[in-house]
Amino acid sequence: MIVLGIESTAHTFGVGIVTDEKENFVLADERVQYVPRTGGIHPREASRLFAEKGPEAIARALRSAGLTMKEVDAVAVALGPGMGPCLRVGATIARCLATYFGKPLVPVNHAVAHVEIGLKVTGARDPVTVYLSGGNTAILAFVDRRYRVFGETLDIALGNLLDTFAREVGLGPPYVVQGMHVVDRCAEKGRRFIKELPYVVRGQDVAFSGLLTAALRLARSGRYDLEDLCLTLREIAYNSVIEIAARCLMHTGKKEVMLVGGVAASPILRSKFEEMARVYGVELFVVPPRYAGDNGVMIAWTGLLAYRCGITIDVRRAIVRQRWRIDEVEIPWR
Amino acid sequence: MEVAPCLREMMEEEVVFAYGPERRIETRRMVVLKNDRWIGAEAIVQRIEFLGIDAVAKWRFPKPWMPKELDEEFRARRTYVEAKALMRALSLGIPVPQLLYVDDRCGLLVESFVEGVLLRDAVPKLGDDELCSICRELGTYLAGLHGAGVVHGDPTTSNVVLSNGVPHLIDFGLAELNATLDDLAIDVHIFFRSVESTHRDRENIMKRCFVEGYRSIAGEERTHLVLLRVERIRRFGRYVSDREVKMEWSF
Repeated sequence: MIVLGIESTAHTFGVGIVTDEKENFVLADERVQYVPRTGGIHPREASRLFAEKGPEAIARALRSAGLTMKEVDAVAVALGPGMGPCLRVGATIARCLATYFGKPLVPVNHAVAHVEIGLKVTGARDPVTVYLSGGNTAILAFVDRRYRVFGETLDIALGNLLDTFAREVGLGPPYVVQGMHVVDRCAEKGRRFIKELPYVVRGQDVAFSGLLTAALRLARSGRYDLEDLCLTLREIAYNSVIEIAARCLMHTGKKEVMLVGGVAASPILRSKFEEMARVYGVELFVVPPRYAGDNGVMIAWTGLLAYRCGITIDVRRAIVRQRWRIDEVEIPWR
Repeated sequence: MEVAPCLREMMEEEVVFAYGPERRIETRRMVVLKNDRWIGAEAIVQRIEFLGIDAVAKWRFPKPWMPKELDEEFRARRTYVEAKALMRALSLGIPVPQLLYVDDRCGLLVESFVEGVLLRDAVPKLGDDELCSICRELGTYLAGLHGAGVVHGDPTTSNVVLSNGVPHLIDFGLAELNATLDDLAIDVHIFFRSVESTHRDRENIMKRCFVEGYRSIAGEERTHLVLLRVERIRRFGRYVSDREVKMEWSF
């Protein structure tokens, strides 16, 4: 079986082609990246780029896989969650391909895809998943046919916290330099713990906006070294995520932890989780950087799993869902 | 899972007790461990006998994933805040564990053990009236704390112990002082969510009575402000569609 998957939820238009017939399951992995000149993602600008470059990326993917659409069994598409204008480009292209070539269309939840590609490439079996990216911070575990959300951010995501802080104090963009976040770089020279910054674990959840506001206020006051602020901010934020992940481990009794999503590529976070796994006696799995960020392969792979279970969607009903939560999706293949 | 070094030191210490007018003298160990210890997300919790009192010792153990100096400061700060919040609650007359000993440098806090059943386990067996009066009490506790600028941080039904029929609020490990309106609202939201996820069939009565109790202490205006903010926080949550935000307390 061969499935072509399309990702376009935020800053990446990705096209992946995968198969379940070979050890090396990835047949093609093409990406178009939207990089804002200043500030964060502008949905309209990103979607414009996708519409312009998307079709080319699909042609490239087919070419590099040495396939034609005739040999593809199904088209998978991330229908959400994400930014509306971006999602609509991918959805329109996918509906079009499915209709024109008479292929079944498979709906994929972007968050489920992050988990599934993690499981596929790391070999984790039943982990507590820590999903960290620019737009998401969630602790997930498979219970009773779904990936349940055990803890999440009540306001902004971890990646959002780091990026916004960096931007406001003039450390970025770019936010990631040579594989390391600029806040991590700045924190390296930090020494002192700043007591005025609030702790952000709230029950099973985290809330970062108060921390962000307090850190920016202190930065503007000029009373503290920026390096100390970077260090304290980073340590509080990372430690809080580790803490809610530990809570989930205790609660579910699972023996594995898996890091997925764009922020999972951070070497600092990885080494912290290695220590945490040691203390709690669990095994750590980290999705490799290639599949940490958004990509088409994860959509294609999840689409393949779903299609094998007979999940398809009528093209007329395949509309995007900006707020499609991961725990709304039944997972029949596990 | 080790025992806190500072707790181990206390196990060596002997304390002389003198009772009553006849001055009966007795020598005891300051701390005796009980065979009951578990690791939480932040601390190792150990049942002990402290000066003969049934108690729990919470040790925020060193986190090897944090830089050493920062970790020490951080644990000291968290322990201090927990102790302070407990004392604040006590001075407000809210039934909480008695604070017995604090060593913030070591990250150790000893508090009395509250004997009883968890509200979480008791809910299915309680009648409507009784459940309502317990939740009303909880509402007054939280409003009292909030009025003093303290949030509990994790007020779920698993952190309420019914002891002789009186609800006690336990585990102030996630408490925060100088709380903002957002913090207060998150506290209320956590209680609501624990009710929604664990006691779905009793959801309405539990929330309604909780809000009644909260209002009786915080007043109409303040309660309204907090509840409005709760709604906003829920809407702000990741990918929550409007219909799921719908609240059940506007009776």
